[in-house]
Amino acid sequence: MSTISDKEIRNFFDKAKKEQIPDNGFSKRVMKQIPRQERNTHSVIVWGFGLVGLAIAVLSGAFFRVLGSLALFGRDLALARVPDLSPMIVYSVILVSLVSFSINIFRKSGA
Amino acid sequence: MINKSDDILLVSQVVLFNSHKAFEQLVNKYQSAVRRFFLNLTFGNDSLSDDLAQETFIKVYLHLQSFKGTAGFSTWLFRVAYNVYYDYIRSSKVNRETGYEEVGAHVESERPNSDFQMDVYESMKVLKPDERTAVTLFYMEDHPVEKISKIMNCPTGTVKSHLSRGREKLAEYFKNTGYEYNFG
Repeated sequence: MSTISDKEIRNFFDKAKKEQIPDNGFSKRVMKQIPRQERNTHSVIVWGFGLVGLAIAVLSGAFFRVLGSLALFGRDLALARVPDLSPMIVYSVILVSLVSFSINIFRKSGA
Repeated sequence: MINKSDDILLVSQVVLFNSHKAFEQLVNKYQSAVRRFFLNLTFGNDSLSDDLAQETFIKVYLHLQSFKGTAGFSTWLFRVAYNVYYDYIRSSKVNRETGYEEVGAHVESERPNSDFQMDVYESMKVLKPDERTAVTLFYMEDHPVEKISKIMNCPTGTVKSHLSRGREKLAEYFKNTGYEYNFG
């Protein structure tokens, strides 16, 4: 059986490899074939759990405590006083920051 | 250019928020590699490779929840592509021994192929589907053996065997066609 070195094979395929194939509407054709209905169930699940979480927060009073703390924090900032950094305030600030950070990332990469 | 972490971010957007825009970005990024992969496996059959690539992306979309993220998105994508190719071979009643003859029997190209590109496709015909897949992924797509073993779902030793047998067959082909004189 003949032998051939790895380098020789590479030389042969080097000319043909990595040829970039232009899209020419391929992506659009794929997107047209994507089923739209089936995946909507996932959005429903995400929103459903979101609403359940919100309902629990409202019913347990935690939601209003967070809002109250934020209001106090805002008032202290408005009055240019250094606020008392209670655990609830720290928690609220971190929560709001994380939420806005996540929304920004999703908006940027989804654009 | 989007990197691997962006891939994960886009995948999470598709899974959690059903973002078609995010999925279109993934298709845009990988369409060339996947279509090129199928072009080599089908000896330059444009319409067939585009059909297989389209089927691959649709399957990826439908099964994206099963992507664990441990092996990287491109590995998982090529694994799906490899399965689509094998499903096609099976559904065409083409077995592993004679597959290359029938798959290449009705090649029609819409894109103009250079003489050299045709030589590459011709050389692929001497390989069995597994050897052709391993050679394509290793030499044309520059994937390491470990990644190919994940794509083909077999041990690295098996991939090395496919590559070794592929090299031997290609050497014989080059010898018979006189291609050995063109090696740089």
